[in-house]
Amino acid sequence: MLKRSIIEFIGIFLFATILAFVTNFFRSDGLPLLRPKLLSPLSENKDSNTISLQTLKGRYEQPGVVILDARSPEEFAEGHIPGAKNLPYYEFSEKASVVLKDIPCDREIITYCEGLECSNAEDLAFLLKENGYALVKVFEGGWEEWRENGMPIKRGEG
Amino acid sequence: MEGKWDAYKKGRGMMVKKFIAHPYTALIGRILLGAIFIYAGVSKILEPDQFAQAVINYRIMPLVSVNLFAIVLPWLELVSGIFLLVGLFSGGSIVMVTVLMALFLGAIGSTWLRGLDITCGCFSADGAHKITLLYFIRDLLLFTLSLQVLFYDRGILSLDRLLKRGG
Repeated sequence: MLKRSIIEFIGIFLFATILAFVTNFFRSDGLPLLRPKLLSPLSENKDSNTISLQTLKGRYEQPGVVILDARSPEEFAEGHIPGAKNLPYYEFSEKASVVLKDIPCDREIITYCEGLECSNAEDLAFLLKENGYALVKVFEGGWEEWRENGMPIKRGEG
Repeated sequence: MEGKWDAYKKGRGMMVKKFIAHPYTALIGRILLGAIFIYAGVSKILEPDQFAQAVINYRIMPLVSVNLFAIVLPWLELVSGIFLLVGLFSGGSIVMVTVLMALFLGAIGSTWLRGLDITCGCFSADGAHKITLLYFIRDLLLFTLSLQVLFYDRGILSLDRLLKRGG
């Protein structure tokens, strides 16, 4: 009985999934399978929306630039780019009003997360754009590249 | 007097137990869950963009995977809802409905605990309503109902039974 239910469960899952993809493919308002970075307002022009380590080196200490760390508070406390504020992507709703309180919408913001493999920095940048911040850039190399290149590190909650 | 009271309590407990385990209760639960899942699935399928946005608002998965979830989930609801309603592959479809209800319960619960001010996205009709404790209670009741059907459904008025007889 249990075995039969599990087989049926898998069958229903596969049947519904195939149906979902086929329907999505043929309908005019179907969604792209992956929410592509190209579709987000952030990445219409990749070069102007990302920042390299070389550029960031000369910018991170400038007073007009805001750096946001999209990682968890624990990771942030273990080490972060000096001057960065912590705004985890998954806690955006709870923390955004506090973290972004004194940051005007025309201020340049740079987001980063762990490294090339993580998407939280870009996801956070997407949310920031949705909330009216026009000048948002992503440091794609993230914490990994920063640390590996012997850049200054600050520990603690910021 | 005390003995009478104990007997009354015992009798009432038996009645509740009988009601919960009764195949007709499970039949009503099966039809109710099937209809709810069909409605929920269709309302999401009709407005994929709106549903994808609702999923983004939960902030429980990376943005890149949101569309995959938003494409597949409504069809899982619709297909399992239809199968449950007509009683075809009842075992598998009630397992699917129970798993989905557990998933919804977790998502709604975590959203409520995190205090996110977002809409549920559960049905198109409640699109404008914010998640409150009531949503959690509603999902908890539906989850309990799905467990009741999972354990006590005997296939009354089901295609499964009809096909079994025919075969």
